[in-house]
Amino acid sequence: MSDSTVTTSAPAFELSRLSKTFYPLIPWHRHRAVTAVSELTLNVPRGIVFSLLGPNGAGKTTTIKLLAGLILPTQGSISFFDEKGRLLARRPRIGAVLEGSRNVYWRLSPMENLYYFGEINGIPRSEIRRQAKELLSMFDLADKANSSVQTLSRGMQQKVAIALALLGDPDLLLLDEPTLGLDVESARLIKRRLRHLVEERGKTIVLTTHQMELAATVADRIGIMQEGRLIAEDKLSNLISFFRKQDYEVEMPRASWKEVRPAASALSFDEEECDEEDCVRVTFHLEDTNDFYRLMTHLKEQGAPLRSIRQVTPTLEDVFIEITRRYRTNATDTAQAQGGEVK
Amino acid sequence: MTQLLRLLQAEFIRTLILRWRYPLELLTGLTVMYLIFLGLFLGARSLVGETTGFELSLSGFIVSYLMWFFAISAISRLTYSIEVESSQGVLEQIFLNYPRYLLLQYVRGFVDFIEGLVFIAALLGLIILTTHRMLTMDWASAGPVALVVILTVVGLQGFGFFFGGLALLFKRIGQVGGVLQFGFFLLAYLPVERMSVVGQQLLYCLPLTQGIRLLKIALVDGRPIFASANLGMLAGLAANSACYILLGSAFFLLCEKKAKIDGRLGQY
Repeated sequence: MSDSTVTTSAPAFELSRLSKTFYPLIPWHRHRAVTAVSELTLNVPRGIVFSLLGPNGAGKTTTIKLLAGLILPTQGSISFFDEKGRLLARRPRIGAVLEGSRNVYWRLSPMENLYYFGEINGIPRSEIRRQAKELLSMFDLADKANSSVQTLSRGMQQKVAIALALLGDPDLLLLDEPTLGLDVESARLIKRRLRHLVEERGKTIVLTTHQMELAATVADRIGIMQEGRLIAEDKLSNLISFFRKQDYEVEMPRASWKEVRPAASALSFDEEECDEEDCVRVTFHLEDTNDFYRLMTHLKEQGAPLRSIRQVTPTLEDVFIEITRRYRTNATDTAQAQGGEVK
Repeated sequence: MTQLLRLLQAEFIRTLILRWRYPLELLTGLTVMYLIFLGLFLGARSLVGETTGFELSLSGFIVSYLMWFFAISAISRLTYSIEVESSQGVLEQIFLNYPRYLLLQYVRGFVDFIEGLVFIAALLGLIILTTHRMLTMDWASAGPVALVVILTVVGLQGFGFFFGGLALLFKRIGQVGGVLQFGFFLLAYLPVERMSVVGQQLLYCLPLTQGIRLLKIALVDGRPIFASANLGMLAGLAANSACYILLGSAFFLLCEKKAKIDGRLGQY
């Protein structure tokens, strides 16, 4: 995670009350319309990795495709800006890797794919040559440059797709599940390259993923979507601070815990076995800092020999689950208040 | 213009690489087309016998067969490429890199036509070897014949855009293509000249029929296409093809927009 990354405040793009409803082709089936994105308003600054998280069907892929111009919005607008913050009349060059597909010609080699798409994109030939070499070596594909894509592993195909998305030096990169199904090493390489692109080359990357670890590692800002709505959006550190609780994890010998336990029963806690033998891990869920002081005093009075103590920091996964849970609870309450039915 | 030439070059290179790398597909296609011709040729000869009538109509038979190849190629190419490219996710990549998709399809149509000429030359060679029948054509009629072929193929490509547009929306419409191939086969061999005036007018509104009629005048009867008696027919062919390419393109653009509204570009 890179909270320390300095980002410019100039926007890369802005979504204003963007909505997308998919209607069935058959007119009398219009009641089966699905709203994939609803009233989405978002401002993403240049030079950051923005990660969109959300359960399946939350509207992440639709948002990415709306940005790419592959789907037309039902309502709302998308504005793109140049590096000086001026509104662009047209969509800038966008590189994209879309969900579940490798988005390349399987029968051509990585090099041939880069040349073909470079040519139709109007990139000068000398640039295609230079960038193709650079991109293939960046993703460790130089020795596979002339092999047919269909003979490459899934990880390599994914890397070819990302290399292709980077061709032409696009300012905006849209990556839908870029590390889906990749081995650890390939996923790590892609994460490193993404950070490099943002920090050294000032690219803006929008990334959707179900892998919390990936988002936590590479994203500067996180947006959480559910049922087509953006329900949270902030820096990861801010999201974590917001959901940080006074939870403390204490490890001690089992015998000591037996002595301490009756006196600690006034506090809320969970206990579990440690990895070590004859050891208990107790997580205290405290109300405030005063509770912490009381707990420490209590442990000191009992003379409990502590093996370790640490404040539990919520992970992005914890934050994600909490935010989506709260959203569901609110939605249920609202529906019940209106006498409606929750779907 | 430079960008268009680069597009053309990129498509030529892509086609050449694929043909070079997968020669079996090309050979299979050639073999199947040749075997179909052989079946028809031998079937017709066994029915009619080695009569003068059969000998006279053989050249027309060959012309119809070659033009039928252009018809199925123009109609199936676009729908097939949309089906395959959407299943691989390449369709969306193309739209990202080159949003003027219709223009790209014009270029691809041209490349396909050139490829088709090479294929036809090979097929014609095999047919001549089998039937010992040469098509009569002097150098003076080469230009008009080329013009008629191009105009006919433009109309067929336009007709193909209707199905290309439907393929953008519904993807798997290959079976419709199969039925169309059969339909065009009938169309290529129908004795339009012997039908009623209304029937003739209706059939000449379809792609292929007028082109075949003009080609038979040049290649079977050995008469000039640019003769004053045939100029009306040539103008009719040009108007017919212009209508098909314009209407087909407009329909294709509508389907493209609908596919973007419904989010169907990436579906397969």
